[in-house]
Amino acid sequence: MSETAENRGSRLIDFDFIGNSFNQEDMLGAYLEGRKDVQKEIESLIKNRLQTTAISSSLLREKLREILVNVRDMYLRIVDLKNFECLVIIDDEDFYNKEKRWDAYKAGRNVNDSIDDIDLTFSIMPFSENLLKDKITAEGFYFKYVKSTS
Amino acid sequence: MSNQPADSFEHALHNYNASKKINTLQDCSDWTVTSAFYASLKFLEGSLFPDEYENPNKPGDIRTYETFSQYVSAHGHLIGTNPHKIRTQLVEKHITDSEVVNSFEDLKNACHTARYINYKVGPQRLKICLEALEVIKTYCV
Repeated sequence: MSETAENRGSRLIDFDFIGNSFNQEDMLGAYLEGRKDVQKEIESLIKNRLQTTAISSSLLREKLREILVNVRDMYLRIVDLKNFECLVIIDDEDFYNKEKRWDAYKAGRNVNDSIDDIDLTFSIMPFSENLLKDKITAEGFYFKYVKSTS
Repeated sequence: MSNQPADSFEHALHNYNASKKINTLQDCSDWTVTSAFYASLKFLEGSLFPDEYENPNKPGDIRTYETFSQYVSAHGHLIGTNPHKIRTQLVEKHITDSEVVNSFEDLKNACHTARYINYKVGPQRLKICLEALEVIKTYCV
């Protein structure tokens, strides 16, 4: 008696596996293995792109220092696989100086233009006593600039 | 002929007038900024469309897009589906007046970061936003 699709575990109406040596467990196993590989690839991609985000954000910090704009804090978040955001908090007196603020925007755009593999948005805002750090974290900004000790 | 410019500018003026009215109210500076930002983006959409743009993924393939929505529908799946992001890229790439580009960034940043200061938009920030809106309106209309 030939093996039916049902007793080989297919259970698909009007469809059966090709050949006799392949069954549903094989198919699911291959799918799950493939998914693990994809997950590893995505993790590696995000890690690399986050590193690019961090380096580019540090570069912007340096550029802002050169134009005498003082950065108080920087937070990073992943928007999606291609898009990342850096929230840049600068001294309020620098922000409310139109020339400095617009130079800071330009510096941010220049840094983003120099990156090929990701799109990095710099959102620049003034320091405020009303700043809600919990809210910033809750919106996905899980990385904060930490001054290098070296 | 497309009626997009009239529609966009009509919507922009509606938001502009709303922003002006809200600004006369006490303690609503966050909503003044939000409506000013939405007025500015409609002014800019009206200024940017209809026009010819190159396919972001096919250099040399230039087509006419009647509306911003048409452009997003055509390319959003390739360049990211966030309309705010796509609009900002179009503004930065195709509007050559840096005062307009920076004014739009003033409004965008004020609107998007208000949540981090509990929507307490101070008078200095409000002044920046109202000036930015006038710059964009003057350029676009």
